[in-house]
Formats: sequence, C-alpha cells, structure tokens
Amino acid sequence: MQTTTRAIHGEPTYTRVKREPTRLLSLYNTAPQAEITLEEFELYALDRLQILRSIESLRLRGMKGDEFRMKLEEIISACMPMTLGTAEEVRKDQISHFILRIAYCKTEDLRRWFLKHESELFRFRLERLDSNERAKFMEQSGLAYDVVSKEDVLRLKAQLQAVPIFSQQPGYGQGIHTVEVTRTQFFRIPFTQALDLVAHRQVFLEGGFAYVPVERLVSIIVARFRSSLSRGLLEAFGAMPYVLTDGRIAPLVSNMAKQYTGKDFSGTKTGDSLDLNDLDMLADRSMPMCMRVLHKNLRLEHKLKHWGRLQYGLFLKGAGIGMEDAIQFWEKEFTKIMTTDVFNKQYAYSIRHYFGKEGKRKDYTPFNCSKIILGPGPGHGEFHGCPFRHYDEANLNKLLERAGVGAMDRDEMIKLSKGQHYQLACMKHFETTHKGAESLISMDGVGNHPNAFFAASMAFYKEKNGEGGRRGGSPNPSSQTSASSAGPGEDAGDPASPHGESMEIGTGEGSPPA
Amino acid sequence: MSFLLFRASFLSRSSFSNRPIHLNAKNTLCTSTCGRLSAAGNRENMEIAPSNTNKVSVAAAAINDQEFSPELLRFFYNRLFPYQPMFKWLSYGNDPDNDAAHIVRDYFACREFSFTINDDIYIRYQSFRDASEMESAIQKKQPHKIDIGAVFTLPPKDHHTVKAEAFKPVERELIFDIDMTDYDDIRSCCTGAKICPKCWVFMTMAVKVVDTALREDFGFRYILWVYSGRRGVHCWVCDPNARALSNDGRSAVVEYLSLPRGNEKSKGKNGGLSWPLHPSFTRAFDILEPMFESGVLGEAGQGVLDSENSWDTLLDTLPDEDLANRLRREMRRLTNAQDRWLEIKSQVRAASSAHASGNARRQSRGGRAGNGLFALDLWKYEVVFQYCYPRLDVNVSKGTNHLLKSPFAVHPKTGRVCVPIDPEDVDNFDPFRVPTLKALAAQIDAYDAQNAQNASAKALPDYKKTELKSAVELLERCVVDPVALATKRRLKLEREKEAAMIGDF
Repeated sequence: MQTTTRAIHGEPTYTRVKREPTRLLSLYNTAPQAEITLEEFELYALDRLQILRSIESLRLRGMKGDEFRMKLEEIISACMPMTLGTAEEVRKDQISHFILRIAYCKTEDLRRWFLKHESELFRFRLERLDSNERAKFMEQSGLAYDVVSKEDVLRLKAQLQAVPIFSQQPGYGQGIHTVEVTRTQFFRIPFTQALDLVAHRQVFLEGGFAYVPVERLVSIIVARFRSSLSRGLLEAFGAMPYVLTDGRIAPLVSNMAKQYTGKDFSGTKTGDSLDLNDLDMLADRSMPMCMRVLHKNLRLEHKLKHWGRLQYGLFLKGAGIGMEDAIQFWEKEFTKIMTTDVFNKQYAYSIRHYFGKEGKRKDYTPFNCSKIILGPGPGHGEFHGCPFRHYDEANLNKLLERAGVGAMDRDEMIKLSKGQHYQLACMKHFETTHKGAESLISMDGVGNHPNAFFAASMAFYKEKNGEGGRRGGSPNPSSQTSASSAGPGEDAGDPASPHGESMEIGTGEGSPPA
Repeated sequence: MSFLLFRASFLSRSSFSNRPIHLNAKNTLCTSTCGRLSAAGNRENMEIAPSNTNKVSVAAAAINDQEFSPELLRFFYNRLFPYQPMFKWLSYGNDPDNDAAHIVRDYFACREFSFTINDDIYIRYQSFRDASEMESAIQKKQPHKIDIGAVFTLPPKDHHTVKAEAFKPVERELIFDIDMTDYDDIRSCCTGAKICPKCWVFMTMAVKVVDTALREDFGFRYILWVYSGRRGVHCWVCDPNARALSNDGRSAVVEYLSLPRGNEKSKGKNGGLSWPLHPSFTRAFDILEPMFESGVLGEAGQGVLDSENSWDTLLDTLPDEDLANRLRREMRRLTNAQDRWLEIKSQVRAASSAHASGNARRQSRGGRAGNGLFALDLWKYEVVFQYCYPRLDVNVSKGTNHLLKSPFAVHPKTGRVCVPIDPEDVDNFDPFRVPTLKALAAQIDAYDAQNAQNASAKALPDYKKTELKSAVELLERCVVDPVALATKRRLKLEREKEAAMIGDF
C-alpha cells in the first residue's frame, strides 16, 4: 500500500508506509508451493542470476559502500524489484531462489559461488531495514540473541571500548571508530555464529562468546543466513536425482549453471602445447603480471610456497603443459636447492594431485582473476596473488618499470589499481605490450583469467608472425566460447565498461541481454 | 654382536606380568615376544637379574651411538608407547567394550591414523577398533612417524567400500602448529632445523599467548600442548565444540590468533596494526614485553639492542626521524639492552603526547599505523609483536583433514619423544632435556635394577618407570580426566532430569 502526495513543486513523493519488513527478505527456509509456466521458470531464474552476477562484477571492480548499494539497487529494480514486499515480488523472489538452488548445488565451486553472492544480496536487503524492522525480522525468523546486562557492560567497559570497528570491510575501509559503550546495546553470541567478526578481530570475545554491538548485528544474521543456506544447498544436492527426472526442467537447470560460464581452461588443451624451454621468454612476453612474478621468483629462489605453486602450476596446466612435463619443470628448478628424493617426497605428489591423478581425483581448474584477487594475499616470502591488487604503489611501479612499461602507461595502470580496478589495469598492461592486438585477435577474457591473457598473447604473436588469416575483433560465435572466469562466476558485461567487446558474456549463441 | 647382547639382555628382564594380556595379538607380537618366550624358557636366568645389570648398561652403551635406530624404535613401541592413555584420550570415553547406552561404539574405530614406514612409505587411512588393535598394528609396522587425523563417518580403512561423498570427516580437534623455521627472519642465533635456548624462548612466548587466548577468549578448556620433537610445538584443542568446528570456524580462530600481515611489497597497503588495539593484543603485549626485554633484546637473546648495527635497524623503523637520531646518541651512552629499551619507550611516549595536536587526536578515535596520529603509539607494539607474536602455520589449522604428528611419537632425527608441555610451567620446559629413546631405555634398566626384589614395582607398565610417567600424567590431566569428569556430570544431569520427568508422571 502506498500513498502518493504531491509536494509543492508537483513532484510525486512516496511515503514509505506499511511495507512488511519480514517479507522484504527471507531465510528461504521453506520452498514455495506454486505452479508456474516453463517460461516463468527460466525467466525468473535468469533475472535473479543477473543480480547475483552483477554483485560479483561490482565487487570485482572494487565497489563498496554507498556506490555499491546504489548500483545494485538499480540492477535489482530492473530485474527483480523488492520494495514493498507485495505478494508478487515475494513470489518471484522465492521461486527464483529455489530454482537457482537446484542449478547451483551440483559442485562445491557452484555452491560456494551461490552462497557468496546470495549472502551479499541478503546483506544488502538487511542493511536497508531500520533497526526496528530488523528486530522484528529477527524475532520472526527465530534469531533471538541474549542481550548483555548493564552490569556486564560496565565490567567489560574498557575492553569493549577498545574494539575497533572498520566502517566497511577491512581492506576497503577508511574510517575506524569505536562504539560508545555505555550507550550501546550489546548481544552475547556464541563465537561460532560470528565467525566473520572473529576472523577480522572486530569483536570482543570472552569464554567463547562474542560481545556484538547492535550495529554489527547484520554480520551475525548474514552468517546465520549463510550457514542455513549452505545446509539447504546440500539437501538440494541430495534431491537432484528426483528433480532431474522431470524432463522439462532438467535441461534448463543443467544449463543454467553453465549459462555464463566461459572457458575455464580445464581439461586437455588441444592445439599447441607448451615447450618448457620457452618459459623464460614467454614469462617476459606473454604471461600476465601475476604469473610473471611467480616465474621470476621461482627462477630466483628455486622454490615457491604453497599458494604460489598452486597458482602458477595450475596456470601452466591450463597453458598446455602436461603432467609429466610439469613434474620435470618443477623438479629441475627445485632440485637446485634440494635432492630429487626430497622433491619427490614432498612436492611431486601435490603436482599429481592437482592434475587429478591422486586423492579424490579432482581435476583442479586454473584460478581466474576473481579467485586470485579475492583470495588469500601473499605473506612473507610468498609471491602469489595479483600484483595490481596486492602490491602497494611504490612496489607496483618498480615492478612495471622493470617489465619495461613506459612511464605514462605505468601511471595509468597505477591509477586504475588505486581505484581498485585491478583487472582493468591488467588489461591495460596487455594493450600496452601487445600494440594493435584488437585488430588481430580476439581479446576475450583478458583481464578475467590469466590463461586467457596468455592465450590471447600467444595468438597475437602467432598472427603477427604471419600464420593464419583469421580476422578478429568482435567475438565470433563460432570461433570460440567467450574466455571468461572459470566455474560459475562471470562478468555481467557491465554496459559502462570501456572494453565492451572483450567483456562479452554468453555462450555465443543467442547471448542474453547484458 | 652388540645388537644380540642388547636384545637378549633387556628381554630377559621383562616378564609376562609386566605387560597387559593381549588376546588377539598372538602372531603380531611374535617378533617381540619370541624373545620373551625364550626368556620364559630361561627362567633361571631371571634369577641372575641383579648381575645382569652390568650387562645391560654395558650393552646399552655398546649400541651404536645413534639416538634413533630400528632397534630402539622397536623397544619403544614394545615397552614405552602409552597405548592405553592415548586410546583413552582419542576415544573421549567411547570404549567399545563398554555396554553403556551413551557410548558411541565405533568412535575410535573411525579415527584416521597414518604411518610413515622406514622414512619413505606413507600409508593413510589406518584405523583400529581399540588400544590393543592399535598396539598390534604399530608393533607390526614399526612406523617412523605416526600422524593423527580426523574421526570420519566410517572406519578409514574401509573408505574404499563406499562412494567418496559418504566418507567425510565428522570431527577433529582444533590444532595449531608453531615451527621455529617461521621465525628465521628474526633469529640470529640459529637457522633452519637448529634450535638453541636463545631462540626457544619464542616458543615459550607463543605458547603463553595462544594458550591464554584459547582459554580466555574462546572458553576452551581441554588443551594439550606437545613438543614436536625437534623445533616447535603443537597444540590440540579437544573440547567438543572445538572438535565440531567447521573449516570456516577453524579459519576464523586461527586468523583471530594471527597478526594482520602482508609482505614487504604490500606493507603500504593494509598490513599492520591499527588503533585502538584489540584487547587481545594489549593482553598479548603485557605477556610478551617482559620476555622481550629479558629474552630478546640483549646478549642473552637476539641482541636487538646490543650493538650499534642492530639498534640502528630498529630505530630506523621509528616514524619520527628526529626522534630516531636523538635516540641513536642515547644508545651509545647506555650500557645494556634493557636500559636502552626503557629509554626508547619513555622518549617515544613523550614524543607521542607532544606530537600530534591534542585536538586532532581527540577527534579521531582510531587510525591505522601508517596514519601519523597513532604511529608512535603503535610503534612499540609493532616492535614487540614483530619479534614475539606467535607465528602460526595457518594451513595446519584450517582443514579438518590435516594429519598431525601424534603425541608420544618419536622424532626420527633426534630420537626425542614428543612429550606434552604444561602451559602453566612452560617457562621451565627445556627441549634439550626431553627424553630420548636411549635415555628411556637406561631409565627402565635403572628402575628395574633398583627394584629387583620388589615384584610389584617391577610389574608396573614400563613407561611408569621412566620420565614418561609424568608426561603421560600431563596428558591425562589436560584431556583424559577432564573429559571423563565432564561426561560423568553430563550423564548424572541427564539421569536426574529423566528421574524428575518420570517422577512427575
């Protein structure tokens, strides 16, 4: 129910009246009972998927705070509005969520992706409620928590006062403040339900309980949402065989998860395989910065720590190095500082493991940029990660300079990096080192996946050296599937992107609207 | 020749009454009992026991000087490894031979162990029904290393019989691994696998900080600290809620316990401390600073304030160059490291209050280290933490699947037994006096010699005749007994509740 009033200047203003906070968001504990058409089935799911993928893409661009919320609000209004909690809005929300549950429960990667972005959506909606509405929602959803007594607050005053609160997620944040302890309500929550706060040391702990100020309650509720959704996904996975018996939806559902998945560089590569002897040259010429750093440090120290080995090893796998060659490569380098025996015992196994020849035989896919940027950063003695993300300005400048990048280009890349547009910076790097590439080859996936960068570079030099007459430019549906992030996540093809054509999504045939 | 002497001599000392009776271990005990069987045949020789004392000692010395050998290992597994206490710990009271209703009968059987045989061959998915099955397997396989894994949905040795999804970890202790090699960048006394009393103090500091945090912040109570055998310590948190922690939970705990860090390249970005300091940091500082002063600063430690070069490096990190230069002059004037530290602290304190204008500080209630307003205040914390703050191997703690060396295993390089450490007495723990296999062998002989006439004393389980007795008692005190007590209380409560309900009828 909404009432319209006209203000003095004749513009309609809406009074926010009577929206049901408990209907604006949901823990999705019960599946909806409804009948829908097949068309609705697909459409609802795709609309929600669009939202989730936009969340990912906005985050990758480093958006945060109000900017993030505004952009997301726009996308949500376009795809699946949820402003008043009307029956229609709720219906679409519930149905689309559960359809996507089916589509995204199959593998661990899919589940993780879905969990992550659904949680972000939930957090967004939760933060839009005011504290009364939130309290009401909590009550209705059975999320009651103990309030800390006045005596205890006084007893712990000094410690509670000393707990820093970052205004946004650590890493993005600028402001740090503390709460006015005596004027704040605290909740006593088992630490297992406040893991996010615990991990970032954003909360005071005593005897296994986290003392959470009311303004941090959102994190807790989101954590609860996440864990209950996680359980739900596993249940969905168990129910899959039954779901797939319906011949109509089975193909829709199996394709949904693949819908925006581009090339993930898993599996055996057809075409040119990589020559180990060329690696040094290729590191300078064709590898993205992240892999170049790893290669150089490997050559320098004759070893890499765990994440470095994984990130670089999987990259090489995706670039076409077979398992035997890989083992030979690492062995040759590592045995400069250790015996073959030690190498075989401590490192060979893990190489075979990520080729899928050991243990649970999972064929690991090379990391995409999303994973590298958002993953664990390098610590002391480590060289993995994304230099545009993990290096500070001075070191990044030095690195690019050593790589032979000109001053003006360097400045631009650093500017992009400071604005947290890490992938754009990497793409810029590709452009400056591969002049004229757009007209020779397809730059699909560059900036989204290190292997795409590498593949594009190889193709560029192949073209340049006069082999083949393939004209490139706009992605050719028949030539290749768009090389984008591995697994379920993928760039939503933000129309505002300056590199529209290379960020195209879709499988090439009948690509959905960006 | 000496080998034969060794075996015959100590075997003749053992009698059947020394060992608990193994019903199902006939063939597997063969190799170690066959000697005893001959001893039984040589009953008369037992009477000569006292005069054999010389033989054993001589024989013990006559063994090659190695701290670790297959013979020593066999002896250890045969007479010293505390199977029963370990079983009692890892089963948390779930004895399969106990008929009570609350027992999870196959709990212990679902625990994974892994063995390293002969330094080379690594076998996973070992599992045993109870202490005696475990003993037989260990005695048979003579593993150089024993690791403990998680409790799974079914006995690990049967994991091939089901689909991969059906074989999952159910619970697992929360574990931590602190290794001296992670401190290499601040150790000047040793590197790599080598340790000395000067750098061992880093382990002591780590144990104190982590133990306090685990107990006070997380409320954990059943915590077992263990010497890793060479250059570090392990921690096993055995509370039921710790065992049930998800990977995310473990990840969160270990991140809470770790310093926010980047590497040299990302320092400018967002590594490092910020103001205000979380209460766990101020507490850690209070624990660490005294040890920093006595154990790291001076000659008895890493010599951080001992020579011009080293204090220069330290003062370089001060965010105030003028202050640093003033202090450099002072350093030369003072004669010992502790005085220098006090001087530095007092001048930093003075500078920090004079420095930032009162208003700016009062208005902002927090800031990062790089932010000038609090840089000076944070400096001393950063210094102390850089040296002393625990450096945990996060990968060990994050997964429920990670296999970790078993307490009371023997380290193949040092021959030392991985004994528990008492966190209340960690200052007095000396890794260089941890019993080795040879020493333990000698202790048994000595005890038996002293109690040659006292049959019941000699009938004690062998580990109780040695230093291992107190080690095992520590295990029992930290984990076994509290768990048993808690179970008892819980059952009592349940019985009372039940009785009350039935009574109401």
